[in-house]
Amino acid sequence: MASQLTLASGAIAPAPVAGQRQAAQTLARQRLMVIMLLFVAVPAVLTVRLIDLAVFEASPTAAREVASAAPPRADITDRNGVEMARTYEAYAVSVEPRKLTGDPRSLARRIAAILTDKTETEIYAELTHKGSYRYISRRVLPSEAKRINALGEPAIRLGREAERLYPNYNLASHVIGYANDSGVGAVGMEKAMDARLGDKDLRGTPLPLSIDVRVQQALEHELQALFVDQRAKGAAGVVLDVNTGEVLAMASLPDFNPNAPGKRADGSVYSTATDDGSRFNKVTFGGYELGSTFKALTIASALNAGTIKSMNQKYDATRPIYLGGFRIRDDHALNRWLTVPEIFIHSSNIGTARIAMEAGRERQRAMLEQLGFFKPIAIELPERARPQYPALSNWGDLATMTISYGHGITVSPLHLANAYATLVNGGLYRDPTLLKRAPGDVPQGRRVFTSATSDTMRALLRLVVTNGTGRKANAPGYRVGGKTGTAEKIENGRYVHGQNVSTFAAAFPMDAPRYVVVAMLDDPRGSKATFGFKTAGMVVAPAITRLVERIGPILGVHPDAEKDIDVSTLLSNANDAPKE
Amino acid sequence: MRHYAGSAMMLLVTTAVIVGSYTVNLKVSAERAEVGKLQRSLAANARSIRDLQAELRTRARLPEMQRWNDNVLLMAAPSAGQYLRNPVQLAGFAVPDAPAPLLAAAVPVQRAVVTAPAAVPSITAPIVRAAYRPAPVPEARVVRAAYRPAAAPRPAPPLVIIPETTGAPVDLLGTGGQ
Repeated sequence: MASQLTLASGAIAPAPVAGQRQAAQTLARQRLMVIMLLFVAVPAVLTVRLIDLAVFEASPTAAREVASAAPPRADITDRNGVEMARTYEAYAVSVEPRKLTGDPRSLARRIAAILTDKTETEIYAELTHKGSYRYISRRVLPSEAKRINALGEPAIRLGREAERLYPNYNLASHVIGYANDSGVGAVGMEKAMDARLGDKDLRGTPLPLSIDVRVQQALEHELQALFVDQRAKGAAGVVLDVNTGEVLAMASLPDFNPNAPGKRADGSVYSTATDDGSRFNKVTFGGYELGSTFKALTIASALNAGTIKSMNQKYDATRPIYLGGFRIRDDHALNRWLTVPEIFIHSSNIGTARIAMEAGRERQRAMLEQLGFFKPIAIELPERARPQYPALSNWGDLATMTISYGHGITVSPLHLANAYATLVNGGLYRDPTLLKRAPGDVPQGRRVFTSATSDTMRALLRLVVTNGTGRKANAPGYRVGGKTGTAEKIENGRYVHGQNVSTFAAAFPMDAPRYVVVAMLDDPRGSKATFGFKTAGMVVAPAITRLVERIGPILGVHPDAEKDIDVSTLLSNANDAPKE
Repeated sequence: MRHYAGSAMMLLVTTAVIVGSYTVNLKVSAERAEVGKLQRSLAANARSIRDLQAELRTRARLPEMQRWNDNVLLMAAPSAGQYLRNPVQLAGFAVPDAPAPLLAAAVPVQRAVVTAPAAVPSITAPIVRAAYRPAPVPEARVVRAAYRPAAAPRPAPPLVIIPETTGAPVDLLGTGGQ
């Protein structure tokens, strides 16, 4: 058989390459396989992506942020959830001066007619400024924004910006402080808690303070009435929970409006020359000699140390004490030996000095140190004063005696309030706080006074109000106890005759103390209502009565005229109370 | 031919899967857009609510309330004498207004009640009026004297009763006394 085929024409056909067909088929199959794999792979990729979209990217981060209703800075509320500071989106009016098309003078006049808090000159200055972008006003009402928009000037821009609003205006202004234009805390709790308030994860949760706005309002109102009536230079007050250390109210007058910091109510701007101290928180940042209110601490220290063994123990107050060229005397001198309750209710400087000398300098220093009187008060606020007291080398007998009745040492009113809380709560010291404490978060406390000392001091403080210098603070049914303190004011290192710092430190109800109230008036001038007196017993004590009657029911303390603390054992020699 | 039929089938199925998947993808995108829109709407509403709350809180600020109270409402905190511990105290206040015949009739009933040392008797309205009228007179007088508040500078608000018992002698209150 011939290996070549012979065509009909006689030509010979070319012989096929061996395996060529098979190779072509293999190649085709391979290509088909690749295409098929591609077809399989694409749905697989799509499936993976679908799962990814459905499961892992169900709520993309970007979308969540866009849809978040959380404010850029957390709100601040009082202990009952009432807003004290919040962030909201306010309308801001700005201008790009270079793109201005209309006449700036006429535009300024028209805008000034809408924005009443800006003058035409101020607006004109912004419209003709050389800068590329200027703010005309950063907080404008929606209705005003609408009218400005209707002016039709393309260079004027209306934007919404986060603004901090303090709905209660001046209320608790020194506690809350304020945040600056960039939303960073500048003063008060806004500054102290800046990191917490600006925290991305926590900004949706309001920050609850320990303040109760109702108590705060009552305190500020009563202090304001006193401040105006007495034409005083300033006033300060604090209400403290003795069992938790929470500050329920803290007020310092004059105060300011945190919505317009640096400005007065009439719009004028503070300068160094015209500053009236309204930005100064007297409760934590002020240092004062708080006078006879310290006598309670001196007697408690002596009771604790055991140098006072009985309430009938007598001390020589027959004549003033002369030491190192100084004289210690009593305002209402009885010129006889006095028992401890008598020393306390008659506010005898001589008797207290003798009690302090008997207990000794070391005990006095230890007690003051345990009460935190040698360092700034441990509270969140950044504005805290460092107390002033004699150096150890200079703390001789004279210093021991004067400090025993509150002279020669300056502390803040909050130091005093916390010391009184320690005195009446059973003797446990707790750092005060402006943050709400849950029942489980209340610190155990550090013992400073024994509970027996605390019980005795409650009775003595009550006695001052029933029979002593604090009788005008005796709010019926509330079992108020307290101590007056009137000290001459120090200016530039010298006592100023005729200028007082009048303080009243009170606690109620004394059978089971719950709250301490300290009110202080800086340089009261006397008034018709106080018959010209400037002393704490005449000036501050009546305000304490009004305040306790207002805040008692709010705080769940019900008055009961049938219930009172037993002071009968102390009364045997305490019948001749001073008349002011 | 059968060879290609399989491939064509595969192609068809794959195309169908792709188209189906794409449809699902589109639907997911649409749903997500809707959810996003809803979330934005919710956030906008929440912000509007916050704005309104801010306005409300600012208008109803406590210093403003105080100003209203000082100038118009003139309300004051209740004094110690306006707090009552139990209905017995309340009954003491109602005594003088009771009509004479009723008081006379009450005497024997009162004795029975007083001798029983039950904490707070469960009493019906008419008996309360009768039973408590002659509550030991000196005691009643002492209580009333102790509770009489000093001359109040402002109009006194109504009585505040601290609920401690279930027997609420509503009938003893004068008109609007509660």
